[in-house]
Amino acid sequence: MPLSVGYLLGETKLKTKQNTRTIDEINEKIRNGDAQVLTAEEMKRLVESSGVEVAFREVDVVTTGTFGAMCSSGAIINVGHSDPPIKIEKAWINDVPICHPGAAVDLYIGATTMSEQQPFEYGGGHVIEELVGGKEVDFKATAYGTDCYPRTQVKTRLTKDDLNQFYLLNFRNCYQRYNCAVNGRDETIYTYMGKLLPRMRNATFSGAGELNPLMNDPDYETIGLGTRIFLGGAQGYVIGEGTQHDPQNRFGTIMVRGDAKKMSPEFLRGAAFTRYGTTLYVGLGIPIPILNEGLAKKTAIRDEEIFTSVVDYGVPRMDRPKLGQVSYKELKSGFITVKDDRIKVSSLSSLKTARKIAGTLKSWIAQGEFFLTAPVERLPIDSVFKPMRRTEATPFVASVMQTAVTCHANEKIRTIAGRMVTHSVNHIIVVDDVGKLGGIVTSWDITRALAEGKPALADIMTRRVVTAKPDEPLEVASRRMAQHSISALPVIDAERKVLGIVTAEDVSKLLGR
Amino acid sequence: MVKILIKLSEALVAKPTTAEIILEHKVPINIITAHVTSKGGDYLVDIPDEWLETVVTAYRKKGALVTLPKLVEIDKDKCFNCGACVSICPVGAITVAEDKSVNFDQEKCLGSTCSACVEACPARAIKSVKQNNHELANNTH
Repeated sequence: MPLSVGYLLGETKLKTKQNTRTIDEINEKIRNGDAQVLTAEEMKRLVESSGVEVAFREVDVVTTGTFGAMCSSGAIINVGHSDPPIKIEKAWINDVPICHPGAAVDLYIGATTMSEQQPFEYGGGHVIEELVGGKEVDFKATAYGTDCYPRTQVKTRLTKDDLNQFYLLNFRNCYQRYNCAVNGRDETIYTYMGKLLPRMRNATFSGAGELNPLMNDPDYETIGLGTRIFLGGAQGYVIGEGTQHDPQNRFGTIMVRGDAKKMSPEFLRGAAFTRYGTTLYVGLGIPIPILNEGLAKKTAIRDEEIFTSVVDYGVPRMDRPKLGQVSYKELKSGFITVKDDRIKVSSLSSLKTARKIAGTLKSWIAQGEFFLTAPVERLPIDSVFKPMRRTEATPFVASVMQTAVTCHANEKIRTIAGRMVTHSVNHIIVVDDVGKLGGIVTSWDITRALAEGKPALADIMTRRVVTAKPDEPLEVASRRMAQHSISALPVIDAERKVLGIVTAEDVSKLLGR
Repeated sequence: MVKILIKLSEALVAKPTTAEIILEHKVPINIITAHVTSKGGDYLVDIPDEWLETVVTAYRKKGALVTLPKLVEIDKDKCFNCGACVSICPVGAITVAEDKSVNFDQEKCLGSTCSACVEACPARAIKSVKQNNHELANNTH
């Protein structure tokens, strides 16, 4: 019996040696300068030309990279104690408010927090880039004062060398893939997916596709708590799943940490999305150890095998309409086809920098400057990304809309003025014989018609009317009124038949503004 | 080719001003963009270098205002080659090269008459820059 067990173990061991390799073995090779490292793009070419078996035998590590806007990023800083000491209540760096979630002088610079002086142009992401680049920043803080921390305000200038700790601590980075965004509305919209032209005249996407770290190890065999990575130009670590990690839909994310003092502004860039806000572009690369043939095959994944949805960001809801599927190959080609329309598409993340990251990580490993780690705990493969629990009903347009007072285009202004008084309304909707929207006329239009002596409704009515749909959330209709500086929206159905009217007054009664 | 901006008054848009100049001087004027109402008009036109002086003088003689458009410039140090601007450009002046660098073709760019890319740039690397109008004046005196 003992003999046969030993025999079996020996056989298994022998087999293991042929079909797998360990991280320790790879690190030994790195130490000896013998490790074979390819970037993900090179690996794909090798598998294509020589097959998985050869690729597994010859390659120890595949490097990946991505460089994109990652809003859930920031940095922990400890600014040291002043004399007399202060227990910071509020703090600012270059006029950007800084979070104070902890004790006296521990602060967190959030990438999306915007400057009070230049909102939408300068924010936490820019502060991090400047500090990482060695620049001096203006620091100020206020406090309520205590017996142990009597100071109530402090002002100074700081560089990264003055900080005790300066750690990048990003709670959601490196989305495995992301949506392709278009805008089905009639006006340009400004989103976190960039500027989207009306009627789907352009599209944007994010992500490195076949170069993306998580895409090359989609079952997270080698990635988890403790995985050493390229982060912002230095070595960093994965510290677990990122927020909104959604592995079953291939929308995995990671949480990362790294010493920002060692990072480079080339791989950490503050950015501003017009009318959306500021963010941080983060450079991140993960080395995938080729432990078995399965991983060799997985790292061979190509852009044409990675699909994502084309999503209409013109619909401001949690579930936005999906208009189709496209591959990263199409996205990177510059054009996608959606419902027979050819649409020009822009990348928001930099493929050039993603390649540079994969290349840099490759050279670090090849030169023996970077060793691999096995995760202490792998990323979960079964977590579920839930929407917010709802305890209050969302008000919709249908719930506040009123019956519209209408008129026909051939009616006299005098008659319409009379109707406004009778119904005590400020808006009358112009409809055709079947009740379809033709225009709108306000009490102000009537006043102007009188003052300027214009007798016909056709001269004063507004024909390009901003409208609402009954199933839209009231918040959305309210924002539309504010954006167009108007006080009412006709509510119409898909055939443009008038169903009612929603006024700013009705909205403020319900939303309290 | 040189791009110039021509501003026509209410009186000048009422007449076939540009047609008259083309017929009179036999100059090739390529209108790239035009915003014309009964109150006046703004034209962005492309003219071969050798015809610049003739065209500018002819328009000015008729009372039009001729200037150089602002140029769009990309600060290569700030640009991190994301490509957000590429799909925004209506004339294909911004493209992605084989090595994934973002390339800009000044010749194709409509300059300040468009500037759609400026606010689309997350790196704020694109600026509208005023050209030196003295050059235009000197060339055409």
